[in-house]
Amino acid sequence: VSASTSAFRIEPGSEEREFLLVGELDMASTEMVAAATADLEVGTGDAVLELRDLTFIDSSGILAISKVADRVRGGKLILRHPTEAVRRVLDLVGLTEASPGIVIAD
Amino acid sequence: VLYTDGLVERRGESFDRGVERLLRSLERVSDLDLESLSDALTRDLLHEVRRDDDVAFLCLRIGQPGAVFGWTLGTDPASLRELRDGFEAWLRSCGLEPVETESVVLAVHEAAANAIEHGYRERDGDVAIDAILDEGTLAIEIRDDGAWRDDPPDPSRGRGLTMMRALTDSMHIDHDENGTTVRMRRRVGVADPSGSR
Repeated sequence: VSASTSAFRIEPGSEEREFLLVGELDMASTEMVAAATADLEVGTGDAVLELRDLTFIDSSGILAISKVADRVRGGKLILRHPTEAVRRVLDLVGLTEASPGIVIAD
Repeated sequence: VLYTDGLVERRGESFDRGVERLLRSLERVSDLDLESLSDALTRDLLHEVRRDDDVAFLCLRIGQPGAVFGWTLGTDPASLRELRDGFEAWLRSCGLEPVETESVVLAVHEAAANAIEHGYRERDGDVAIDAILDEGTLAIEIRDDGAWRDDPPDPSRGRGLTMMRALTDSMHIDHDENGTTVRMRRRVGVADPSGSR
């Protein structure tokens, strides 16, 4: 087990099409996001990334989230409960302005 | 480090061996601020050891040579997290507030991630990070000897550069035959403007 896997993990949430992101999402862990959310393309409707336990995100992580949003059909990608640190990065890069398919829900 | 013998002594082991263990541990963590250093010593020397003795120790730093940070990073993206933790500990020890610390750590992370991602596609190398805090101005340099100057601009990294600019007062990137150097500066609020304590 490398340091990268202990710093970040993504797991299915309690709802359909919901994922829980935990830890620090940077370039070492973006592939995990892509792999875990691949099945979103199969269904339709809103998808949720639960971010209450995500403590860090970088530009690679933002890009990874944009790619998740591209997989969502017939709905939006909802970023739920971002921590203050993550919220500041989302605001800094203007993610929701740049990607109409992404909404932030506190 | 001033300490009672309980810090180094273990039953059935020579006293010198315990002192050597302390010195090894101290060497490894000597760049940390004193609070983190004390935590690290406690972790290194006292965890998982059955203690027969009370332990007290006191750490102080004498003649700290200004506020200087140095770090060398390999090309494993997983090592970025250690850089963030180390840089954050240093900034906090300099008296920066948490939110400002977070901004500066993110800027340095993005620069180092750039160097790893684009500097070393073909081979391994080092990324060197140096920072100086003087009179409330933080000056940071991130150097690699990679060849990302030859790469076409990658749209996925544009966001990282935008973040670095937004998080600092100035940001310059220089490329030459020896590699790439990113220089960033930012005025920061610190409790003690000299950056020492």
